[in-house]
Amino acid sequence: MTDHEHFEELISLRLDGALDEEGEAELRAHLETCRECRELLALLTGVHDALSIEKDPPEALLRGVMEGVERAEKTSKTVKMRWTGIAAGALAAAAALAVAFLPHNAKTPDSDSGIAAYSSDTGTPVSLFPDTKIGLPGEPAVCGSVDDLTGIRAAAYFRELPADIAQTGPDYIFANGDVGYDVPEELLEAHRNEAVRIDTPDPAGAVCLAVLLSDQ
Amino acid sequence: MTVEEELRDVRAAASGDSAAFERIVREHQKNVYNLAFKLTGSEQDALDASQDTFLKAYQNLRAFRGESRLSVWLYRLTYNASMDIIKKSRRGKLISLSSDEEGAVPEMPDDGPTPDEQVERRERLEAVREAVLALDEDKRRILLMREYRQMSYADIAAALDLEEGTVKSRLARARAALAEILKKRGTISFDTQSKRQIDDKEARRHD
Repeated sequence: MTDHEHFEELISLRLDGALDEEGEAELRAHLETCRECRELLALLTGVHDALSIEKDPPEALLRGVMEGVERAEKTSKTVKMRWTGIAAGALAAAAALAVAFLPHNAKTPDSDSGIAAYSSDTGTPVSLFPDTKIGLPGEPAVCGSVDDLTGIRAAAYFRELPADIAQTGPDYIFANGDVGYDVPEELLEAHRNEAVRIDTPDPAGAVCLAVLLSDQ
Repeated sequence: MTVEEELRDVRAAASGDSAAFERIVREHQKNVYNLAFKLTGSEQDALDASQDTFLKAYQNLRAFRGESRLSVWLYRLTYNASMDIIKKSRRGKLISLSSDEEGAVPEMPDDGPTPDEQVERRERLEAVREAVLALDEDKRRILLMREYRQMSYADIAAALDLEEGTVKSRLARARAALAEILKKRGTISFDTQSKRQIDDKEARRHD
């Protein structure tokens, strides 16, 4: 460990309130002569302070969640879903929007093959799940393609989805007809051999994704 | 709440017991909301992300089988929900910049008068978040654990299967790398007040 790294570690420990007396004395003496470390400590203290927030959640949080739960229960009992194609005009507009925000390597949604969920009672697009990416009323916000894997830990692609994965979703419906399921990593791993392809682009990602490929 | 109690509530909630789910929300809402606030920098976005998180959790409770703590699973959902909102907010900004037609610019939601302090805090949190996201995976992960989730050294060591000493040194490297990015970008000043305090302390020592 270099001297520099040694004092970086003392600074880091001090931020966490974990620096012992001996280390504190050593750091203080060093700070008197090292402007660079003084600046590092000041900057990191600012960052640490900015993140040392403890707020009480607003009452609206619990209320909103429980209302959403109630709605979801009612919807699942009363609304019959059917799959249908997105109106070409709406999809074209959505595709134009989506293209602007997709990373350069992402596929452009296929404007002829979009799939949305509609309520057969009202003909209005509805969200299957709270964060379904498409089919929201008045906003056919087509999700990126399955190649847009930012934030995904692993994505496995299936021709036929294993039943235990199918039970967990679907969570995403892509414009090209593919359907995505957020699944625990272990579940994805258990079906590794059945996948036609597995991508692991971002091990830091928050979710694992199983993708049922459409027939196109 | 013990692990067993938690799992019992998860199973009950998955079978439609909304009182059990309400207990789960009450238990975890503070951590979820605070994490979402630190990531998004906005109370409204944090509320939206938190609600999305719990609703998503509710829809997928059957998939939770207790291999990890519920808090870890909720952390992943919160991170994802927050990043979704951040992406949407970026889209909104892009649209408004690229639109030529007067009146076609989507209005940002009016949150009422915003005190300077709130704006400054949001900018700081956004700058930190963007710098954290620019770090390599190992550094980002350990910083998220310590600074965003306030995990102890021991818990981080257990989660990453490392010695505590290694956690301390990796955390120090990650913080130094974060500082480097923030300094290079120079978009926002964090250090005015902290630096003044430190300089004052050092000056007093010389008196």
